Amino acid sequence: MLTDIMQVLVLGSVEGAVYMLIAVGYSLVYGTGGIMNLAHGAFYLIAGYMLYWYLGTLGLFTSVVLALIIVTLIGGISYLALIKPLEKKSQLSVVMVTFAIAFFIEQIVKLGCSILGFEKESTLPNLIEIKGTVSFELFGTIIPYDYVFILIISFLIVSLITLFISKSKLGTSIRAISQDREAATLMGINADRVLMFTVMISAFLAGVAAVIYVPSYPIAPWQGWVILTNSFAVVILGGMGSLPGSVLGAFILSYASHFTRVFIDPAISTLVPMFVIVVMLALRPQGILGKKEID
Amino acid sequence: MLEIRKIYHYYGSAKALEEVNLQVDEKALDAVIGPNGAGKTTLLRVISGLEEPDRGKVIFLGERIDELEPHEIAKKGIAHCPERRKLFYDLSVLENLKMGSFALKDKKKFKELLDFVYETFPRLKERKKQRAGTLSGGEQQMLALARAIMSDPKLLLLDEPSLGLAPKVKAQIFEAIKKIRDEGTTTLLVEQDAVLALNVADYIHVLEEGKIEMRGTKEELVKEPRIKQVYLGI
Amino acid sequence: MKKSMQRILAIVLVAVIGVGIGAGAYFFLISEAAEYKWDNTTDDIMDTVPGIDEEVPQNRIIKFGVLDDMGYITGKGAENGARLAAYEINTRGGVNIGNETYYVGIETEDTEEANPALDLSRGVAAAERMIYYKKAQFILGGFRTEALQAYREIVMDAKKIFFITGSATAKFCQDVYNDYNKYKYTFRIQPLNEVFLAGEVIRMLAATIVDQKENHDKNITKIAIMREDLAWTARMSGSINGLMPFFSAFIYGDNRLQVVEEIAYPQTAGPVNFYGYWADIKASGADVTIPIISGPTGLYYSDVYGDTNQPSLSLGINVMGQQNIFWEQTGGNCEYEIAMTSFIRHAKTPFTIPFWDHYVGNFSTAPIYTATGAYDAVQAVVTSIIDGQSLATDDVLAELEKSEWQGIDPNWTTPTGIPRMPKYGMGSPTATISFWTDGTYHRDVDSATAGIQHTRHDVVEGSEPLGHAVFVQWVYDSANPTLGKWECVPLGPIPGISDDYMLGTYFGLGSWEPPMYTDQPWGQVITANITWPVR
Repeated sequence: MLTDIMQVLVLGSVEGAVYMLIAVGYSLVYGTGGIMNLAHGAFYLIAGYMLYWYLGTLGLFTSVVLALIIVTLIGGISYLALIKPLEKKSQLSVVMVTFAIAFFIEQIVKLGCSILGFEKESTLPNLIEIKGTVSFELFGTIIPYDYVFILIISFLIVSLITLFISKSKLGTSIRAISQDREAATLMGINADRVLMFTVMISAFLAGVAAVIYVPSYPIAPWQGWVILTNSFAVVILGGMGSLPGSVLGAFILSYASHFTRVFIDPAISTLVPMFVIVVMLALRPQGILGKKEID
Repeated sequence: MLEIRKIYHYYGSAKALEEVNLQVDEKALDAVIGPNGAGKTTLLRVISGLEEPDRGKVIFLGERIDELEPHEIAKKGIAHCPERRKLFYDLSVLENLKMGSFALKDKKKFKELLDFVYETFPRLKERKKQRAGTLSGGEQQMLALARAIMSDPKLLLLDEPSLGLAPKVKAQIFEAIKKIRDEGTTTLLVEQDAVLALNVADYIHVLEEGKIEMRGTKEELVKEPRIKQVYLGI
Repeated sequence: MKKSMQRILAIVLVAVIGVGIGAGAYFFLISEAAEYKWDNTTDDIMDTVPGIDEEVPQNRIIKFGVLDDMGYITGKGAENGARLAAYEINTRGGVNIGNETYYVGIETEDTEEANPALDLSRGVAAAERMIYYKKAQFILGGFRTEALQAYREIVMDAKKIFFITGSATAKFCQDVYNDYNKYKYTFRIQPLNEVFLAGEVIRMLAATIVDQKENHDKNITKIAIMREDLAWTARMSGSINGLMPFFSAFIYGDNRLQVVEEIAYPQTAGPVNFYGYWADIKASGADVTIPIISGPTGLYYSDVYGDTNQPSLSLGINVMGQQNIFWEQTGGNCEYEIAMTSFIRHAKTPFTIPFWDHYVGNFSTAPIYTATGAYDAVQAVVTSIIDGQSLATDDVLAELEKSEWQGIDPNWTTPTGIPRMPKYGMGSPTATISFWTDGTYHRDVDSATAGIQHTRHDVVEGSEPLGHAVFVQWVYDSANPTLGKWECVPLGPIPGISDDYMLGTYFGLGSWEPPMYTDQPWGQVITANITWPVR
């Protein structure tokens, strides 16, 4: 029994680490610009699919780099061309346009699959293989090397992002905008440009999550929405706009979901994120580590 | 240096500014006084680009700026120290000052300005690592003022720097404002406390219900019975 | 920065500790009670250990977990097939390993993979529960490629043997070849893999065209395709389109045979959409319409086909049409439709008819392809357990991969007297088709002498020519007007067209030299009359 709990902890930790990457980006954009980016799951989706599409011809390294660059650009372009012009009109139109971006990307993915023959390259190789084995055993628990890699990369990247936000000039201006956008513009900070960078960073993070996780957990076009609802649940739980909250929320939610699916019922486990969203909004809308109000 | 020509501004159908003309000369300290809701804050927001005027022109150093974005106007050398301070409360004092000099490219100038700020407000130096939100009201106002100076502005816009402060602290702040003026920074001050404004400003504009009703030097204005009655309470 | 790093570390620490404490408490306080039990009380075939009327000690159950959409026919078929195999094995005395007797147990988890708005996490969750909580030792099931890809990873990471019983995607076994260390536990047993599937449909199409021309004086020139908008259907349609000019040249000597209409519809399409699709096909004047449909929308396809009196003959893959209640479901609208199926009640192997009758006797419905796949998967695993005298995954795998398999022998039994499924196709060097996952295909050649490295995980049931699909046509049955009946349209070998040519074409590998057809009359191809739609 203990090994099974261990095994579920391993699975939960890996998914938690991936959702940490996804939710930190989501939270960053919300915290800085108040933008509810419904296309965030779609960023994950397109990065994952690009890996499939490129892998056959370009090799792993080039595919990963290209996928990350393109998804980051998609983030920037989405902001500049669609979100920014609507931002001054109303919050609702921003939400609507990100919704539209998400659907658009989903259709692009479907189109890409039918043109490029998705299933031909549908199984990605292991990222790491050591001496002909893909996993090792620890006290009877099977741990794929890829999982260890996913954990290391996610924590490394989240630490770097934290460092960047707390140390660099751009990072400080991101925090300044998140606290008082109007005052920040009075300092000569171009809030639109900084916001574009945050959307790009968040797309990049979603892209990293996709390229490290998709080899272990393949995707389907609809999956963008599942990623979105789950990361939404993570930030609601951890606190909108709070990065440590996103880290905390990602792990809590992932463990909760995995323990539920294994020991209670898989059907209930898919309800866990929805349950968290509803309960948290009712009891503590600001989340565990969020500020008093969402604004 | 700054010229405002026939500015009109409405919030929906409510009139905030009506045919406002105003001119600030280089190295002058001008003040705008007037009762609550007269449009003083709106006037400053129009200058710094936070509000787009419905009609009229804002000209700064011979260049029209009323169609620029706020961050572009800030880079032209206008520092707006806004009403209720609007600090970055979760950033440290030093980080707030650094944000103040965001548009400043010159590292040496930054050093100089920082020294000047610390000299003027020694309290800020003591608390430079502290979060801005933990400062007292007076210290916060000092920080707001200091943050505005940190951009090495050509024109400083001050919105009610005395609001909610104890008389002793008010005096300190106005001491600092004079000092900044003496350093040669053009300043446009909006103030409800007419006595303070009259004491410090070279030239005073009286704004009432969105219109400039009167203007003049201190000596000219104190002679006006209406000023005496309404603003000075003599 | 120091502060927020500290904060993050503290949070991670708290999270890990909190979960650790929770897990610890769970382990010490409730785990014994919460340990999942494979409960069995009756000898009912639907109970956990079919055919045994008492509780079986947990460590004497060979635990098979079925992962599939339990609300769809594929899942029900897989479950029933597995149960039937378990029932047969258990009632004949179980499985002896050393001096201990084991019985086969069956549990299911719902992956909801038939849902048009597929949520992959649902299947992954089901797999995790099946393996880590229910402790299944062997996994089978699955039919939708995208869903399988996700939850197969869980099964592979857990190092469990996984028989895929419902997806035609050949890639699953190509992975075994490409990345053996990770995917060696994957087997794919039903249906025919997509390469053969495409070949079969093309063969049938060619045979039909020739048969109509030679025997019925009817020239088929216009082909329509209606398919789910999925990658595998796109590839199949691509190969049909690609072969059309060659067929036309061979059969008519010109290019009059053409695909005139192709409809790729989303899986969310409803009945109303199908009226539109069929109207387009009718307008195109198609003679034959080829469906390539695996999902529930196949019902609308056939319903509207009859409802709008389509003059074209429907011939292709429609999984829904493999059910024996299809006539009833469509109210007879499926009349004239020719559906491809893996087998019908005919002696494809010596075991097919007994299996069919036993299945119908227990479940009052005909087995669909996932049922036979699951049945054979359980049989194959159990046979390997007996041969290797071990339940350990790697021992069973070694037995499954052994190449020295015997041919068909009806008297072939295990040491305990259980009839066993010959492991057709898992590398038999003498009598079966084996799909070589490096993209070539091969038959009747000793793999050892051919010297090509390949895996034996893509199973073909039935030796050549029984490994082929069969085609059945739905026709009116005056004795049973509400149920209709299947009439088999047996397909003989197509003279002159070698399958090498067909499949080579499909892969873009084969020689493009036109084969010679002059030696045999085309009319021998179809061995029973097709009833053409009269509208």
